[in-house]
This record gives sequence, structure tokens and C-alpha cells, in this order.
Amino acid sequence: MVSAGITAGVKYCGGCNPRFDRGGFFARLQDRFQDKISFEAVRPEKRYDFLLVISGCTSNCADYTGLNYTKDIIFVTNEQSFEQVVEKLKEYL
Amino acid sequence: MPLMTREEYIESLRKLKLKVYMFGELVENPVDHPIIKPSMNSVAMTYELAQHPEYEDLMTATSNLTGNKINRFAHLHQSTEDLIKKVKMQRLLGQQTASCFQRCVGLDAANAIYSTTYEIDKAHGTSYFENFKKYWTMIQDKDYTVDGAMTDPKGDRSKNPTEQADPDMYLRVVERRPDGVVVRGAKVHQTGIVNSQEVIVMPTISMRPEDKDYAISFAVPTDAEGVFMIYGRQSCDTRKLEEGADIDVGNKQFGGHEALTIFEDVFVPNERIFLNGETEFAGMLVERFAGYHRQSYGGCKVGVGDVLIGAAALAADYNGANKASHVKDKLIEMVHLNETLYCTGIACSSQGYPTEAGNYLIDLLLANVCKQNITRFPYEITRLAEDIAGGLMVTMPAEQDFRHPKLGKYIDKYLQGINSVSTENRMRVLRLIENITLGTAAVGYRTESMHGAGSPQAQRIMIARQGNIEQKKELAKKIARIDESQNKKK
Repeated sequence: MVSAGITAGVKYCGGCNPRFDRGGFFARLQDRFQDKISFEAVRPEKRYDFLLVISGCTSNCADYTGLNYTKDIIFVTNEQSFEQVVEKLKEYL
Repeated sequence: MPLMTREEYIESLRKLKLKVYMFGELVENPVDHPIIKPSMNSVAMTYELAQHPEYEDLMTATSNLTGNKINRFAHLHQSTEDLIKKVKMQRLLGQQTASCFQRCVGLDAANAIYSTTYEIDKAHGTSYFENFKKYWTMIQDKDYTVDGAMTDPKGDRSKNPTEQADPDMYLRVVERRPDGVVVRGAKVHQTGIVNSQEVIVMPTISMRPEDKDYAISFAVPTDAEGVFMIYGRQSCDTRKLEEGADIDVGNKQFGGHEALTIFEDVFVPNERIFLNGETEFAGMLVERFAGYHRQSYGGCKVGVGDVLIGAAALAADYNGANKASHVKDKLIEMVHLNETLYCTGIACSSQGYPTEAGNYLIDLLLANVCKQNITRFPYEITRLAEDIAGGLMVTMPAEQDFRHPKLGKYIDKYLQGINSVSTENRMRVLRLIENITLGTAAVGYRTESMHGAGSPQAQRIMIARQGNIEQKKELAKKIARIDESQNKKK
């Protein structure tokens, strides 16, 4: 149950040849912030505190034009960046 | 309803009154037929993935006609980014189905017709572009699957359409009426037509002025009066009819199909006609469609290749050969070949350019190089997969024997690989390799790689036209400091 008011819209690339498990990465992140950040699949009409853009490789081709956020946009292109992303999100809690 | 769900798509197919024949009989219910259903599942995956946040970035696009979110398989490419995403989407679908998912042919036809009709109208004052825009808006709004029908039977290849002994060897107009035309002929190896609500017909070659009745492009519903299909056989297809078939079919869920499609005096109303006698534009339409379709293979075959490489690696894992250096090297070679194919698919897309109509066309030289590689590399990838898999792939007993109360234990015992993997799983991965390399899916992965979107020589003709050898000679002359004034006069 999310009690905090922080929101994050999650945008994936299309996953043509992902070099890591994008869904698994997000599930771990969601688990880490389960009572602090409200994540959802991004909706163009909504404004979020953060956008989390998860791409399966470094080409980072996910199209996030027109998506709305107020604080930051965080890009994920590899599995190894997990703790960095965690630290970045913690800065805003 | 710009995006249909998988269920809605299947339901829409059930409403069609298709005439499909197989093994000499009319198929009562194509949707649930065990031979056809796996191919329908492959198309259904194009609908399913479009609903999924993890895949929608590739699977959907914004229509330039309506502004609506649509399936990318109905999109008119608006940028090189769109062209690249098309190839990526096709790789994704190949990975998810290990089959031909059939829906790209309509997409490629639409993009070719959109730009060609614009240029025909400009030259002739016709209204084909408006016809097509209205038609394709309907396709996008209903999220239909469309078959793109190009290949005529062609009869005697040394003769033009009007010179054939049988004038129906190329599809043609047999009657002109105030409200439309009546056409007769056939289109061979029509991929996915049984899983399509609509079919777009195009000419198959460049035309001369006397070929006017053959320069015809139009769209009709697949269940239009006079249209019927005779389902194409595939190697090992009747394994799908065996009771409880699972391991032996290799890929139980997915497949592809082709059909010989007959147009027996089919009426086409004027508003569904996109070319009608403007013979000089037949070649442009063929060239653009072929170009897009040659690009397509740089995505779809790569996705199937990903599955085959994975299956070969698993086969090596399961029999303990995975640490052998030659096996590792063969897997590396397979990846190298597969990614080289992908490179050309991406390259011809990134070098695309806008047509006069506004949609984007691929770089034709690079698209033809892409397809030329496709006529070769999947065969080498296949050879390496068979090498790694071993002969058991084609000699192991049937699933019924494995399930047999007396025989099963012997198969389980003697076909065991490493101890930690079950014999059944070993059999499964070997049957998958068999399926892709010489079973039902080999139609898509091998022979379609050779002949689909044009046989190898068709690409070589295009490469010769676009290769600009003269410019390369000039480059060499400059570097070699050749002074042509020193040459002897003839």
C-alpha cells in the first residue's frame, strides 16, 4: 500500500532485443520503494513527479516525448545501474 | 476502436465467411482448425503485445491520418525513427512467435500504395490517393489485418502478361463498369490471407502500355464474392492433426501460412481502386513494396534467428557439449550472422527519406542488400544449428512412443543427455530446431528467406541499378591519378 504522494510514470522501450529483464528490474525497484513511491505505466494525460524510462539497451529508444513530469526523468539502460537509480530516487524522498 | 484486443481480433475473424480449402475440402471453421490456428495465434500476438506497457512503444504509433493511437502494423511511416521501430517491432514478434507473423505484408503494401497513388494523381488527375486514404483510415480505425497480394502465377516467365497462352496468368480486369471493375486471376503464396479481414492486390511487375488491363491495384474483403483460397502445404504439417500433439510439432502455439488465392470474377467498386491502367506506375509500386518488404526481413528473420540460436545453445547445454570451443565458436558465428542481418535492416531504415506524399521510404540499395543477405545467412545459421543439435533432431522416436507404457522408459533412458535435464526437455528443444530448420516454420525461415519479397536475382538487379559503379570508377581514377588524356584514341 502506497501512502506517500510521490508518483512515477514508467515508460518502457518496445523490447526488440533487451539486454536485461526490464520487467524484473522494475519489479525490484517497485519492491524497494513500495510504501514511498507510487509507480504506474505512464499515461500521457497525467503529470508525475518522475518519469522512469526503462530501455533494454543503450540505444534508449523509448519515446517519451509529450510525457509530463515535474522533478526528474530517470533513464535505465542496463541492469548494473539499479543501485544508482535507487540512490537517485532516495534523494527526492 | 483503434486498438483491438487479441480476443476481439479472433472474434472478428469468426465473423468472416472465408472460403478456404485444404486437403480437397472446404474448411468449416478456419479459426479453430488445428493446422491453421497456430498461424492465427502469431497474428493475434501483434494485437496482444500492443496492449502491453513493455512493448507498446514499438507496437503502437500515432496515425498521421486521424491522430489516433494505432497498431504500428497499420502505420504510415512518418520518420526514419518510424522505419527503425518497424524493424525492431518485427524482431520482437519473431522472438515471441518463432514464426512468420504475417501482418507486415499489408503494412508494406499500404506504405507503397500511399506514396505511389499520390504521384499517380499528380500525373493523371485521378483520385486514387483519396481513395486509399479513406480505405486505410477504415483499416486503422478497425485495426484490421491486411494481406498484401502481389505475386501472380506468371506462367511462361519469358513472356509478358499479354503474351501468355492463358491470359489469366497475371491478374487482370475482365470487365469495366461505371461503378467499378471485375477482375480475374490468382495470387500465389499469400502469406496470412486466411488470418486477414482484407486483401490489397498489386501488380507484380513493371508494365508496358499494352498491359493496361493488368495494371490494377485494389482492395477487397477476404470473403468477397469470388475470392477463395487453397491452403498451402508445409513440411510436417499433419503432425498438428495427431492426437495430443505437443513435443513433435516443435512449436505448438505459433506458425505461419500461405495460400493460393483465386479471384474468380470479383467485383471491385471504384472507391477501392488505387491503380487502373496507368501502366507506367506499376513499376514504382512494385519497387516500393518490394523495398519495404526487403527491409522487413531484416527484423522478422532476425527475431526467429534469436530463437534458433537460443535453441542450439540449449541443445548444447542439454547434452554437455556447451563448453567445447567449437560449439562456442559456432554460436558466436550464428550471433554474428544474425546481427549482421539486423544491421542492414536498421541501416536501410535510418537512411530513409520522405516521399512526395509525406510518408517515409527506406534506402532502396541498402534494403536490397539486406534482403540479399537474408537469402544466405539464415541457411548458414540453420546449418550451424543442425551441426550443434546433432542427428538426433531427425532420428528420435515419436512423442507417442515416448508416452508409450513399454517403450517410453527406453527412450527416457537412452536419450538422456546431462543428468540434470529431463529427456523430455531435450526432445522439446531438438523438435523446435527441427521445426525451424526443416519443419513447418522452415517455410518462413528458409525458403521464404530465399524467395519472399523477391528471389535473389531480383535484389541483384536492384543493386546493379542503385550501386553506382560509375561513381566508384571515378573515385579509383582520382586516387590512382589516372589521366585519361593519355589513353589511346580508338
